[in-house]
Amino acid sequence: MTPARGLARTVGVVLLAALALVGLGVAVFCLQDGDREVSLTALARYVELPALLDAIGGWLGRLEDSSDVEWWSVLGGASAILVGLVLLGSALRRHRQRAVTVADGPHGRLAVGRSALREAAETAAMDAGATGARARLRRRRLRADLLDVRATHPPAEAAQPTRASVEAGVEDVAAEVEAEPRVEVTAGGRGERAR
Amino acid sequence: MAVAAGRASRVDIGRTAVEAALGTPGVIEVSAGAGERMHATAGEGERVPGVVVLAEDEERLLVGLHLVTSLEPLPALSERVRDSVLRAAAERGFDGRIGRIDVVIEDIVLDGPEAS
Repeated sequence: MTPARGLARTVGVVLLAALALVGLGVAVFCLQDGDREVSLTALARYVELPALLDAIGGWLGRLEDSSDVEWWSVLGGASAILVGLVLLGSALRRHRQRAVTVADGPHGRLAVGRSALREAAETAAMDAGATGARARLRRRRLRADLLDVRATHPPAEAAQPTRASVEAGVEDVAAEVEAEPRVEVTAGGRGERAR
Repeated sequence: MAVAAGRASRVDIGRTAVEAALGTPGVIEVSAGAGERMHATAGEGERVPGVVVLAEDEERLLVGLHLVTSLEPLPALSERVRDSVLRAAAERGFDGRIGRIDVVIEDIVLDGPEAS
């Protein structure tokens, strides 16, 4: 879970709880009308809305009347909009699936954990002589998925032998999930050696 | 352990599925996920890790197996796992209660035992 998504969830729960409590309070204070003890007017008095109006009324008036831009207000409003957009985006963004569905039929589904596939491809590349490897499975709509592996070869050696052996190792892993392998091999840093 | 077909519980079915899966060449172990609690079926004071058994419809149950396997073509492996589970369920008389069998590969062991 990303921090933004975690924050969105926490804020969502807190806001919902707060909204429910406020709603309950307002509903209770709708029991009586006028200026009686359990009325909306009394509720406004209990939460000191008149005092709040005294405190910020001048500022609101200045916002309304002034032809000058209140830059602190603009900054606050813009920040609030930005935070709202981040939270909204985090809440609505489709969660990346932990497992990739390889096949789905009437008898059941076959799924492979992304990390399992990535680690298998990276280990295969390292076992094949790479000095480092990063793997990633890319989903494609109309074609087979792409198992993309970026590996490095020992700088003192030619790239081609490492490329050939890494491709062979990655092909085995890609075949497991019927994906298309793609291997890119570049020279590793000075002193790097295959294990 | 034989279980009467009509009395097979989710735990019975989960245990049968896990035993059958573990007997399938290429399957190394089951994975219960984080804290050994994510993927498990519990009931009757017992917990079967590595399998989730849920209602698929009013009669049948969906079995979700979470496995660690060796490196081999996974579609073929998942078919073998399904066959093993259905065979074991048939032997115990409750294959009619099993609907879909989902196979989730949680980890792949490169130098694991080869399937024969």
